[in-house]
Amino acid sequence: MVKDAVWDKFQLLYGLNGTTTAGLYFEKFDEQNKIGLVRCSHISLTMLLVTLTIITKIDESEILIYSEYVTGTIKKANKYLLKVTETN
Amino acid sequence: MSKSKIFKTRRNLSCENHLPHLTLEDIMEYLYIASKLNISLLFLESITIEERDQICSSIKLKNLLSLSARELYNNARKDNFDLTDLTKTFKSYLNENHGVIILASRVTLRERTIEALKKQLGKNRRLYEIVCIQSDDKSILKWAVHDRRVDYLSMDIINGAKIVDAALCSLIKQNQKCLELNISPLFTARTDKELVLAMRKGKKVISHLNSKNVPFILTCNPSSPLMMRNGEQIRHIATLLGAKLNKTKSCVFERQLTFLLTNLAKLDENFVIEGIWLEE
Repeated sequence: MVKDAVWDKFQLLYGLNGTTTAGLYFEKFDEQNKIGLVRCSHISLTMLLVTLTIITKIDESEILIYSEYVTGTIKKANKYLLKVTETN
Repeated sequence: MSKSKIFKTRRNLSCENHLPHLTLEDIMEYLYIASKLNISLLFLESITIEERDQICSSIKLKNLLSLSARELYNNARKDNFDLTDLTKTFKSYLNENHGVIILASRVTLRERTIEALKKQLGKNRRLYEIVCIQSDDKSILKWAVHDRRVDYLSMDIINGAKIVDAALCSLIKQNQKCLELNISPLFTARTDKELVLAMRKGKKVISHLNSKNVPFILTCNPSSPLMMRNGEQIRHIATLLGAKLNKTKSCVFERQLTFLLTNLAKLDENFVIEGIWLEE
């Protein structure tokens, strides 16, 4: 649901060409802790952050998506995710 | 030798410049979301300084401390009333204490004539820490820019496209005022057409402001707690409207803090005129 909303909004704002260049890939999403991992190209980081910010509703429910941590490697991101889920 | 793994996250200070008029229960929800988003400074609409101090003393949230701006100012102020030192003190306090949120009071005046606006300014200037003017009439805004009791001119990106022009931009810059730009139409657009309209109008306003180098601040004017956005998010959204990311650095905290501290100094009992204070 979140993945579809992000995809649709990204395509609306930046078109098919922009979405292709961004190389979005949703690695994982933890339903319980409401935290996930999205991969994108470094050039399109701003575009992804804009897309996440501008989403206010999914299926008529209000939602707030914000970026918790930005890193260059998936390994580090996974470690951060593990740390957050352990503390929760 | 094993290195300790520390995740360094850069936490920039940010503020929400325009919260709607709220009850105590609503404020708690906004404070909770603000603590999650690392928003350190909140401006409460139509809540006087005295009411704000009462709210601060009655709020008790676990791991969250809300301070009134005046209380922190009185603690930070020593013999030196220098604005730069006060700004540094506020910032270092907020950086060291992550759970602290500062509450400040503001009012937005909407009058149809200059005479009515003069009366309201006279009544309200000492009751609120920040005073904004909102109007569709250019003549009222051009008068308000010259008045030293006014801090911001407030408008949203759709109405602003009709009002903002080169003359108004020059006046704002000359009189060292600030333009408060409300970007909530981008969030509240129900259809793609409304979103496109909001973006187009917003680009027009930002291009005027950039051409004259006018100081402006950005606000989401959230109607619910989940509509709040922190400074980094607002800066990224502003890139949709043509604002450069590195030029909006001071639009989400610095300018608001400067205006707040200047007004806190002016509202001080010992303040006479700029540069002159009564000795205690």
